Formats: sequence, C-alpha cells, structure tokens
Amino acid sequence: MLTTTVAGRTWNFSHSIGRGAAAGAGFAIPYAIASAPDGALYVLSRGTERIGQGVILGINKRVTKVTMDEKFIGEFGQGQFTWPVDLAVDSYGNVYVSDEHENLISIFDPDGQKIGSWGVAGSGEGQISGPAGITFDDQDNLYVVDSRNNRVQKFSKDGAFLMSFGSAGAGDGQFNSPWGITLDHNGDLYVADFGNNNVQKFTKDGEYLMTFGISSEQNGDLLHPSNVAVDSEGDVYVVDFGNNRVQIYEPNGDIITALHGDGIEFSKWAKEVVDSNPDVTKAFRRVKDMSPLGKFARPVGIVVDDEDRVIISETVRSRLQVYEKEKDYMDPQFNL
Amino acid sequence: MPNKEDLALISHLMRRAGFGVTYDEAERLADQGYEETVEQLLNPETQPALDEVAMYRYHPTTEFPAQHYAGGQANWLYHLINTKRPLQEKIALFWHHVFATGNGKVDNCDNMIVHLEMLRDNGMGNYRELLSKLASNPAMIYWLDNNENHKNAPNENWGRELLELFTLGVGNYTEKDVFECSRAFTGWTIGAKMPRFPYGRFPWSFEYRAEDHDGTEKTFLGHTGNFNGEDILDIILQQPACPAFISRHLYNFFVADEPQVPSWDIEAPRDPEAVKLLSDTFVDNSFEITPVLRTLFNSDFFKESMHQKVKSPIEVVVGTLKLTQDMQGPDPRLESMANEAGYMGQEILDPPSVEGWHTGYEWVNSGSLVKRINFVADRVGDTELPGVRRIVEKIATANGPSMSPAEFVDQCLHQMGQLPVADNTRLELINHAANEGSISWQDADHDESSRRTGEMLSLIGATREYQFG
Repeated sequence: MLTTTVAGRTWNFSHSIGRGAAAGAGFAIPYAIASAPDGALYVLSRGTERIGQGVILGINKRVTKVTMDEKFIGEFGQGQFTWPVDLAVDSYGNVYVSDEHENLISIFDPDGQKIGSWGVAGSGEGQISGPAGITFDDQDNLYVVDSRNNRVQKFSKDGAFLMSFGSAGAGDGQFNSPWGITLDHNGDLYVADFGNNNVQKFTKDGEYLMTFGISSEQNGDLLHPSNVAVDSEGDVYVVDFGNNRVQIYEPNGDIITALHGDGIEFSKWAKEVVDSNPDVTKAFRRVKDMSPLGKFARPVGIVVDDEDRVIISETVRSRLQVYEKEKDYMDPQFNL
Repeated sequence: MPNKEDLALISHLMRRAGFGVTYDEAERLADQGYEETVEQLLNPETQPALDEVAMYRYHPTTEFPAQHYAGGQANWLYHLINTKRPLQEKIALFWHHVFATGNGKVDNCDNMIVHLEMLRDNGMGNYRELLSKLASNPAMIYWLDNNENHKNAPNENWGRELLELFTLGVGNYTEKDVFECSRAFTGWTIGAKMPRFPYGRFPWSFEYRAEDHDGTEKTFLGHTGNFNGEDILDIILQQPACPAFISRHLYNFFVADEPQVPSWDIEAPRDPEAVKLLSDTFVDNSFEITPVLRTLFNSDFFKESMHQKVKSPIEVVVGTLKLTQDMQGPDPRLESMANEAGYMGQEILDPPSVEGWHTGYEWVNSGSLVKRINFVADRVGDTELPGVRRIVEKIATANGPSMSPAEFVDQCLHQMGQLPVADNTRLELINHAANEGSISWQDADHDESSRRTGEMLSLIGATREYQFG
C-alpha cells in the first residue's frame, strides 16, 4: 500500500503487528518500541491501572519481545512498573525502562531478568522527577528526559550523573513537560517537547541547534508531540500525539509529509482473533467504511530500525504499524 | 478581606454550581463579587479548557476506554477535579441524572464518553437542541432500544422515557401518546459498526433509515400529522408541563431536595413559586438553559438554601479532593479513586436505571454513611496533603500564638466551608479539643497543634452537618 510520495522518497505501508492483550501475544497500550540486537523489537506496554475488570494490577504492564514478522518471543517486567514510559537497549543487550511515577530506571538482562535499578527523586543535580524518554549514546551513556524538571540529564548506565541541560520555559533550549528523545547518526539529540509543541535539536553536549515543528499553512502545528526518530538520511519523524499523525521533516526542518496510518489489514495476531469468531467476521462484513480501521488512534512511540523501517505504536489500538522507506522511488507515468 | 457572610455565600455557590473551593479560592471569588462569579460560571468559555491531550498522556485508559469501564469513570473524575469550568461539569452531571444512561447496558464506555461530552458541550445551551442531540446519541439509542424501534415493530422504550423522564413527567401524556411518539422515532438508529475485537472499540454513529421510518399519520398530544421525531420534540415543548418538569429537576439538583421523581405527580413541589419562576424564565427565553441558571443562582431561594441538600457521593469525593488539594493533576490513584463514589452509591456513567439515582436522604444508609465519613476523615485528617497543610497555616496565623478550644473549633469550621453546626455538635467538638487544653502555635508546639488540627478536621468531617452541601 503506497502512502505518500515526495521528491526522492516514498513510504510504503508494510504491515501491522499486535492486538490488545493483557499477556502473551499482544500489547496493552504500547508506549514505546526499541530494536533488539537480534533485529527483533522490544515493546513496552503502559498497561491499565487497577485491579478488576479482568486485569490484575501491573500484570499487563510489561515488555514484550516480538519479531518483525510477528512471532512472540517472550515477555518480562510484569508487576515491576507503575507508569512505564520508555525503553532503551545498551550495547550488551540489556533493556532499560523508565518509570515516571516511581522515578526509576529499571534494568533487565537480555533474558528478561531484572538486574538492577537506579534513580533518586528530586530536582537536584542527578535527581529525577518524571523520567520520560531515554536513549543511549554510543558510549553506553543514558540520556534521560527529566520531564517534571524540564531538563535532559545524562547518566552512565549505572546511574552516575554526567551532565544536564535545559530549563523550564518556551525559549530555545527550554522545555515544558518534554517527553521523547532520540539520537541521530551524527550523535545529535532531538527532544519532543510536549508542552511547547515542538522538537528541539541539540548537540550531544546540550548546545541548542534548531527547532522542528514550526507551523506551516498546509500541515499545521504540532500538538503535544510525544516522540521523535531520525532515519539514516536524517529525515526526522515526529509523533504528533495530539493530532493523531506522524509528521516527517527534512533535516533542515522543512516539512515533507505526514503519515496517518494505513493498517487496514489485520496483523497476524489480530487475524487469529477474527478467524476464531465467525460473528466477528460477519460483523466486519456489514461495515460500509473500513477506513477508520487503518488510521492511527493516538500514536505515541516510534523507532526507525537499521533498515530504515519506521515502526509506530498506537495506544488505543494496541498495535504497531510498520512503514518501509523507499529511497530511489520513481513515480509511474501519471496517465497509465 | 471579605466578611464571613460573603465567604459563606460564595462557598455555597461553588459547592452547588461546582464541587467546592479551597478557602483561598473562596476569598478570591468573594473579592471578585457574587454576581460576577455567577457570570463567570455561566460563561465557561472565559476560562481555559482542560487539556485533554495531556490527560491522555498520563492516563491513556481515559481515551476510548472501551470495555475498560474504570478508564471512562477516571476520564470524568479527572475533569471534575481539574476543570476551570466547574458549572460545565456540574450541568453535565445534572443531565446525567435526568437523562440517565449507563454503561451497564451500553457496554461501550467510548460512547458513554461521547454521550458525556454531548451533555458537557450542550448542557447550558438550548434544551430543544439538547433533546435533538439526545435523541440521536448512539449511547442513548442503544440504552433505550431505539435501534430496535422499527416501522413494522415499534419499540416503546425511548418514546416512553422521553415523555415520562426526560420532558413531561407522569400524568401529562397517555399510553396512546407513548405509542405515537415511538412510531415517530422509528428509523432513528445506529450505523453498522466495527466489532470491538481485535483492535478495540470504534465510535458509533447515528443513522437515519428512511426505509424503516413510519411516515404515516400520527396523533400525538392532540396534534395530528405525519410526524417525525423532530416534530414530536416541538410538540412536547408546547406543553406547560415540560418547563415545569425540568425546572423542578433544576430546583431539586441545585437548590433543595425534592421527593423522588416517581412521586412528583402526587406531591407538590417544596417551593412552587421558585419552580414557577424558573419555568417562566425557561419559556420566556425560548428554552435557553443559561438564563434559567442565572435566575436560579441569583435568587433569594437559592442563597437561603445553604446546607439544605444532602451531598451526592460524587460531591463528597470531589469536594474533599478539592478541599485537601489531593490528586491535582495526573495521579495513578485516579481509577481507584473513581470507585469511591460507587462505594457510596453513585457509579458515574452507570446509574442504576433510566430513572437515575434517588437523591436526598436516600444517598445515606448505614453502609454508605460509613464510607462517606471514612473517606472524608481519612483525607482532611492527613496534614501532609497540601490543602490540609494550608488550612493548618491559616489557623496557626489566625488568632495569635495560642487559641482557646472554642476559638480553635470555630476556626476549623470556618476553614471547612464556613460549616454551621448545631450547638450541641459544637459543644462536643469543643469538649474534645479541651481534653488536650488550649492550642499553642509556638514553634515548639506547632507539630502537635498541626496533628490536633487534622484530628479536629476529621471529627468535623464526621458530623451530620458535613453531609449537607
């Protein structure tokens, strides 16, 4: 399914992964995605809050490991989180998860065993309040979006404070409840500033470089962006959480296009559910307009893998949508 | 500095038109003036809207909660606690009482939220338009089976409740009117929807199916014609019983407890003149709701009704959270907190029947009373909560470095919404305070006096008087 073609680029919808599930094959409000060293994906489920309604507190909050072709590998972390937000993988394959309520970074080995945690609540140097997005640099240092303190802090992977930058406000280099963070291939940082409705780019040392998300007449403003990713060519993908879309920018900040979701075909796991219940199949047949099925319903997490596949998670549908970037695309003759 | 009477009156207004305020906020609003505060409440667009996208960030289950019913309740509770437009939420709760629709049957909290948003957005607008939106609201259509109301097989559920509970009241229509009304609403249904599996619920939509509508002649409340649903609504509004019925509901909800609705055809209103004033205002303003509310809040009968209504469970819960400044903003306890009103007998978004909740003294029984008292006492006695800390600060600086037990009790009552209590209640509170002597706010005694303040606030929260709002 072709999505959008612009000068020299196109994004083809590939497939969906996932379905709603409190355990096993599926996700419960997937907030974040990270690539595993073996090419699979780690998916962090935020989960629901309370006991009852068939959900035992904390059990559906978990990390699921799944392959790109939707094979369930395993899950871990159940009962370990209150408000998990993001995850990142270090060079040893250990998985780090931020919890914005507990003010903790939890660490799991590649087998899913918890091997530690760190984090001290507060606003002093090296203390954190509402840790949100996290990302590793190539030295295994962890950048943490310290959201309620409106700054980014850099730690060793063991939690030793290294540096911080940013302050509360709406100016360059200032934040208002920032959320997601990523590094590009040059080592520059991008921070999704939820409250200021933009994405800011910094050097790895925290020097402000530029802002993405300046409004344009055709594409409008960002509304409360949640996350950001950058592909190998430097194109910047911003999850426009408030507008249910993903905005794509040139490296210089010019808007290229937007993705709105194309997952109209069921993922493998979703198809199992549909096929197992003939009434569900019949109920789908009577629907006249299937287009809402594919649209993003509150996209939140994003990752671009080594093959420049763009993977986006949605809270409402508990699903991932995968796009492939075609770099040398030639448009067919118009009047074919 | 506003006087005690002004503070008491503004606190009364904010309890009834909202869910209460802190003492500091009451002072600010009293300085602003009563009538100006009424206008601010009546014009919610003058205050900032709640940032729902921020709510979804921290509480993702509040958006399209689907079968996760607690998420839907949490959605509304978040609004109730954090809104800057309290009357918009209170009027939504009012219409939720009158047009009671419940997730117990609808089993689709996404569309219960859409239903709630409809009440919130239109609750202070025009009643005629509100009825039209109600009749085409998918949750209501499913709740009252209008999707089963067919040209060749009418279902009377919606038609009956429209007349009995939403507009006229018992005794103001016949069984024939119910049938004819129902026929007029045939074809008003819900479009085919996507199933909830495997990706969760999708929004329902209203659909009018002309081929399933009975377009033949009907005789309804003395009028004859080939009526459709909108014609029926016009005829209903011509009945004097309609504005009187809604005005009595408004009086019951905002002013003072009336008997339960099923007895309204045999029991006269508590204050017939007040209901008539509201009813006349309704008609004179073409069924606009805001002018009726303006008349109500500025009336003497409203101002004189302080502490004459039993607080509903959701008023107890939200009022206490606002007083103590607990759970301001995102909080993992939101969903479990949404249960608390249910434990006291009021599951928001899930009333017990189409008749809604029985109110007044029926809110209170031996079980719910214990829940109410424990909920309040646990929180107002927690001196770590910011609102309680502020109350302690205010009392500590009110009367110099020490105060008598009587002064202490009066200060605590004053901070708890200028609560008037019976003489014997006050005496018992004073006797309790006197057991530990006078209260000192010297540095060395501050912690102990703070503890005693929390204890006294808990006792006040357990009084009979505190159950009235």
